[in-house]
Amino acid sequence: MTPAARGLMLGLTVGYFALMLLIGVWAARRTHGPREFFVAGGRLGLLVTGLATMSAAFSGFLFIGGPGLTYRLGIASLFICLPVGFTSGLLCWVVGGRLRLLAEIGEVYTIPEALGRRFRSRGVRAAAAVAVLVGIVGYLGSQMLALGIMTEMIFGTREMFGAWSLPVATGCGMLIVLAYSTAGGMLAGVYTDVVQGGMMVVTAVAVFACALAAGGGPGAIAEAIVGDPRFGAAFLEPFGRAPVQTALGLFFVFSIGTLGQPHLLHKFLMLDDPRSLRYMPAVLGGSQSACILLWLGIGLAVPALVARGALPALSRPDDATPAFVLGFAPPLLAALVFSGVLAAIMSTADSLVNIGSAALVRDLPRAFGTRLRSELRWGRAATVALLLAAAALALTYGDLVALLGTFAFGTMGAALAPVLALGLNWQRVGRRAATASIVTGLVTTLGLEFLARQSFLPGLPRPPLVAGALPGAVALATSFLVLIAVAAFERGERDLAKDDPVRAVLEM
Amino acid sequence: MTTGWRRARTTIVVLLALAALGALAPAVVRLPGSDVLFAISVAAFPALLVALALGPRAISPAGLTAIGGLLLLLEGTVLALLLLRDRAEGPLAFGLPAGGLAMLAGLWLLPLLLVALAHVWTSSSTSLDDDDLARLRALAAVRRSAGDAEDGR
Repeated sequence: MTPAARGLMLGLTVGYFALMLLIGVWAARRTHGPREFFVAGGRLGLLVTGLATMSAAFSGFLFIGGPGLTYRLGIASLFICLPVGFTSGLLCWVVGGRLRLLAEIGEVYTIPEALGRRFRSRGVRAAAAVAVLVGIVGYLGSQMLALGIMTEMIFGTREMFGAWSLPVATGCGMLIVLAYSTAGGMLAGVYTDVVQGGMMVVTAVAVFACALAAGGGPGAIAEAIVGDPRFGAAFLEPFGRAPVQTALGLFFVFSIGTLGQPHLLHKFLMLDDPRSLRYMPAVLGGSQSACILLWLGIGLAVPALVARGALPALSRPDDATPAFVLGFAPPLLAALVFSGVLAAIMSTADSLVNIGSAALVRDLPRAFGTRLRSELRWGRAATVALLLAAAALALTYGDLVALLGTFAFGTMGAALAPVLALGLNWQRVGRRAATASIVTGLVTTLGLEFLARQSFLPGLPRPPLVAGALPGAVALATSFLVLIAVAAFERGERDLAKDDPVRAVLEM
Repeated sequence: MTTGWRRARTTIVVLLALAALGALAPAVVRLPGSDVLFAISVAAFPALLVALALGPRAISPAGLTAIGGLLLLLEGTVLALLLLRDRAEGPLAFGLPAGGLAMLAGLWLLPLLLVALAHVWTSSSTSLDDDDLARLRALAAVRRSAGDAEDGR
């Protein structure tokens, strides 16, 4: 990278950090209570909600891990991201509309709170809050680790701080998130998400065009890939490099599991008018589709460039994006990509930390029959504590945190998607079915993933699954089955009185 | 709630249970045709969940378009991918083989278009109006003033 390009990248990143802090200051002045802190006042319009949901959904994985996975697995990896074609509609039809209506009949600031209200049960709320916390520990930790690595790369802190480089870089990145998330809560979170989402869309579309141009167009890219034995025709076949159960298991987890992601669903509680959801799939699905162009573009262009000898073969697949950007993108675009990665990481982190602090200071105390006197103050304190704990965990147990981060999506999906998808649409689901499903999803995912990936205890057995089966998909299917089986005997509709507004919401 | 919808809902829930079983069984036991069973099962979930969520509105032109369209697209695509997987074919368009193109079109671009339009249509034909929202808020206010113990809070 030339000194001029490096200067541009540093300038853009510093400007981006400054803008995030300014938004934090602006939001802090408007945050007077828990309603602003946890649900941004509940007055957001369609476009803001859609963009904030999109940027919370996509972490740095979209920019780094996704193209790297394509380099390794071929287009089978796209089973993870292509469901964005319909998950936006699924979210609105199946969960978003009724979640928003639950917020219409009373104070609902969190997903566990919405479940507690739906099932008139503190137990369900507590189980959901625990699932959220377990899911975000790894997710947030892995975002902190990625934030540190990107900050280190952009600012070149390794030369300045040596062995302390990663802790210093992680600390600096974390301080920015900490400043705006603590001061401005979710109000700062959503407006920074909008800026971050805008940056991600612009960057992704530009990178896609650049990747196509660098590869010589789709036909030439495909021809180069097929002609190289390291990739071959299988690279472009959906099941070419992954068994059916793995490829479609990813499709299952990343489509249906989306219905259980609290950092996305939380945004529906902030919408000012439930009727504006009508156009949400167009806004959310359109912006998500624009973003995955980056994954598609780099994921296909890099192997083609490697096949032609224009890039050396990658020793680590996750180097696909940095290698392409540094070698083939114009300096401004390269700077935008690195800032875009930071934006993607930070937008996910701020959403996660907010719902985590809500679970700690609002859901769990209320589930146990007590209330904190000042939820705003405690919410800010919990935000600080969570971010510090996540950064400390990430730096101390990096491998373990990365491991937890890789299956956090599946954990929250298996624990919460069935109870939300069926519980909000079928009155027969009662509190016992809901609790059983959440616990089953949580325990099954953690148990199977741990057995499948752990190497700390060699004596433990591997999970009893067919080769290629994904633990996350197994847990999600099991959680659905348990919910339906218990609901069949429970007759949960009896928990709701005839004039209960929750019943009215479920019947709308 | 009509008896017709109650029956339809029971059918949807039974199908969801079968789909969950179909997604689970091939992961635990290697069965003949397990790939096909797994594919059909996981591709059925989105349409079944939308059908359940739409409730009685599922049996309307807008609802049937959304559910039927999603079911046809996703099931058709995964079955096409399975049929095409062992056939070595050259590029069909944009340098991609038929399987790659079917994947991009059937799981991403066409559902994106379908869902965006169908959601507007289902919302337009069954939209909440101000009276509905006012009725909901009034119901909630009555319960609150009657000292409703809000469990889970």
